[in-house]
Amino acid sequence: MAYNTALPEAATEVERARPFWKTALVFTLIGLALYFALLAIAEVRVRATGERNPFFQIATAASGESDVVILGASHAMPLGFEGIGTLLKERSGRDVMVLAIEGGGVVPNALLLDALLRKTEPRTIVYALDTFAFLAGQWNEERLNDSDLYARAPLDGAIIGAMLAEPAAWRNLPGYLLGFDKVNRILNPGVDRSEAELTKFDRTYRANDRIDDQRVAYLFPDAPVELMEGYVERLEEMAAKAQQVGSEFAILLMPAPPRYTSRLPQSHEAVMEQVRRVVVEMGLCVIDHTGLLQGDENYYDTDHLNRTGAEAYVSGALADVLRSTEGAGAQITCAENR
Amino acid sequence: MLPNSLNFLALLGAITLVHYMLPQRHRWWMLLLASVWLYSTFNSLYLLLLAYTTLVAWGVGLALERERRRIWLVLGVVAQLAVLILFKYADFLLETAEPLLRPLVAANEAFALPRMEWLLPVGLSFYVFSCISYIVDVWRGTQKAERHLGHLALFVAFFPKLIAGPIERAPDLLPQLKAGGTFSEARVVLGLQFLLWGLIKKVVIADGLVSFVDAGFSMPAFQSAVTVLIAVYFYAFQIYCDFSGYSDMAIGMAAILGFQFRANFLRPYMSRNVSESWSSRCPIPLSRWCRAYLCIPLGGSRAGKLRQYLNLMIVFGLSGLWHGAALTFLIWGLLNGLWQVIWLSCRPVITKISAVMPARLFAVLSVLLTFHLVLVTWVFFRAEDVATAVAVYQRIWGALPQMPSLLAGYNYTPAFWYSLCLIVALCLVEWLQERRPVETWLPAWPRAARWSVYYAGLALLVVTGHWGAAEFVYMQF
Repeated sequence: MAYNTALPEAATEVERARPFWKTALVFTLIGLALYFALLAIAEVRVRATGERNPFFQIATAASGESDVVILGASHAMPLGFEGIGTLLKERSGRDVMVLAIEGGGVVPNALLLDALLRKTEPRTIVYALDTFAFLAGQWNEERLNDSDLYARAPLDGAIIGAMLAEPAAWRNLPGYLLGFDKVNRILNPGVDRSEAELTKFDRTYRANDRIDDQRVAYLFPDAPVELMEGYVERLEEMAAKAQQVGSEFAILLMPAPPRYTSRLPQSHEAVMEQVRRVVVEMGLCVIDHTGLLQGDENYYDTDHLNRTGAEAYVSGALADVLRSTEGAGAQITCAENR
Repeated sequence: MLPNSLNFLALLGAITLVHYMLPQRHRWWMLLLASVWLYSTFNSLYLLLLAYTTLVAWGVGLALERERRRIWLVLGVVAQLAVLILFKYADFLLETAEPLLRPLVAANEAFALPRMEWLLPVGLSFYVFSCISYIVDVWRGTQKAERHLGHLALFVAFFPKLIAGPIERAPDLLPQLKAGGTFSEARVVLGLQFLLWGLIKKVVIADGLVSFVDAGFSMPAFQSAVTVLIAVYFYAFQIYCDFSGYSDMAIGMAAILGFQFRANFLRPYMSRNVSESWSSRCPIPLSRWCRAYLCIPLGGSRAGKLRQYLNLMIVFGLSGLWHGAALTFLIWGLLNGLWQVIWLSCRPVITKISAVMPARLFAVLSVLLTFHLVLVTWVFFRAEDVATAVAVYQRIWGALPQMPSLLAGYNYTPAFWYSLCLIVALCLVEWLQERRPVETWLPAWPRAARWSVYYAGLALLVVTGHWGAAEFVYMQF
């Protein structure tokens, strides 16, 4: 059996014809030019089709002052879904930007906040707190390694700056700068909405003990205390950064059904204890809406608001809280939580 | 780190640069370090097994050279196979033995044998087979025992072939590795062509077919018959592009570094009979390995027809088990053996038919028949268990009378048509290769035309490739 990398006649003639390194250099340069042409097209497409992606919202945010920014993980995402975001703006009278990302713990949210603050100065920053996100690296440093996160991120100086400042994001900086994931989706960019918004948001959850147990067990693994404390420190840094630029930093506890909250393990309370310490030390506001919307008809799965729940929430309790901050110098009414 | 990831490709560039900057006599240790480090990225504990198999092969080789006693050969082979059995087959054997032992050991229904539940180290079968072939070659005198442990370690761990083959034999590869590889511009270009084509096969075609295959093989009884049929056909191309894609990448990587691997696949779906498919088209080094180290020791075809058929069934049964410790793989192997036996026994009749038919028509029919025989066996290879494989057959068979109308009314997605186009393009390239290998005519093309082909291939990779770094199917073997 022959080798199939044995050299044929024609190949050896090519070898003699010209210096290899020159040919390789020219080939590479043309290849790079073609690649960057593709990248330019991909960049235009990302900007033209962007909707929910937090990096897109940051990159296209007007510089100067802005109004309300909501950060958090998947629980806060419905606040920006189709129809809900508009409703929230109407009812609260505030211009709300929802930057929550699926599985986004403190570290990715700190990165987003840093990028945002390089661009604009929001009056109010609401961090929808999820205690599970303080218990595992997968929602934090590892989440930043997900290349999908940057597939719809336009190239932007503020984002580059934030990634440079966040060591956990360094690994992904070359990929972001080269925009490989954007080019890879150039033919099929899809819709800039999460799977939850596209396929689950209009569903209603049928309570199931086994599923509830599995969900809580998945979200709340046994975590070392140091890990949790490290992430609480990051939260503290986020709040300090926001306060430095004159923004109000509030913590929001989203509505959750009792069958979910009653299952939360000791680690949830441990995180809350640490958070309460930060709240007191920094004089933060806590908006506790955990007890609202208790019925399963408000959720599309174990713990995420569906359209019914989200509409009720943004036109009621959340709108009331945000409306109270309208006008210069006004702050969220939550004195009892301070 | 998977070879179909951007990080790996960047690293390959760096390794190549350092490789050629070093003097030839020093290249082995850099390649060894790189290979060991790359392997450790899967799980650093795997290195212990790699070290064990290498040390055993090295020690037994030296012992055999000192005194050519059969005991050393047996010890060496058994020590290698022990690792394979322990990590790959222990749970399968325990599972199989459990129901047999239950009535003998105790009437208690709760009787259960313990399970190892060890993670199968990536590429274990490939490097164990490399070591066994080295030991046997030293025993046979076709390879001198390697005194330099580093050189032998590089032969076993050389990264292009470590995780999914091809299984290179020591007399072919070891002298090249010891020489350090010679830079040749033309070979580097050929290597890059192989790497590009291998990546396209894996990242564009194979990984693009995964969703169709998964859909059809997951609970086939509840899927539409057309979905299952598409899954069966697409799987034939997924597995081929996955494995041959990796082989092409391995051959390409080796060529870039100045080494030559033997061809692993020669367009197996163009085979005109099952014997041709296995003996000279796919996967060639494994077939050679089986012939040299299993078939011939069993007597080959020298001991009469019946014995030859039995040997074939044994070799193919073992080949099935080599792929995985499950009944599905065993059946897959035995089915392939059965096709061989049927073909061998019907050869006189087939020759007569070929004499009365137009040659082209006979060739086309032979290729189609062979492809479909292989297709039938792939169902067992892919299915989670025998019941799933049977369900796949039942779903297709039960719907055969309505198949034309089902096919006409099926909701084909754009992704389906795109995948079909890729498969047609693949077949076209294979057909062209069959007529005249690309490496014989492409270098003679004008530069602009040649480079356009390369850029088109790269664009296909960048724009439509599935870069989620999906594992190669054969890595699990």
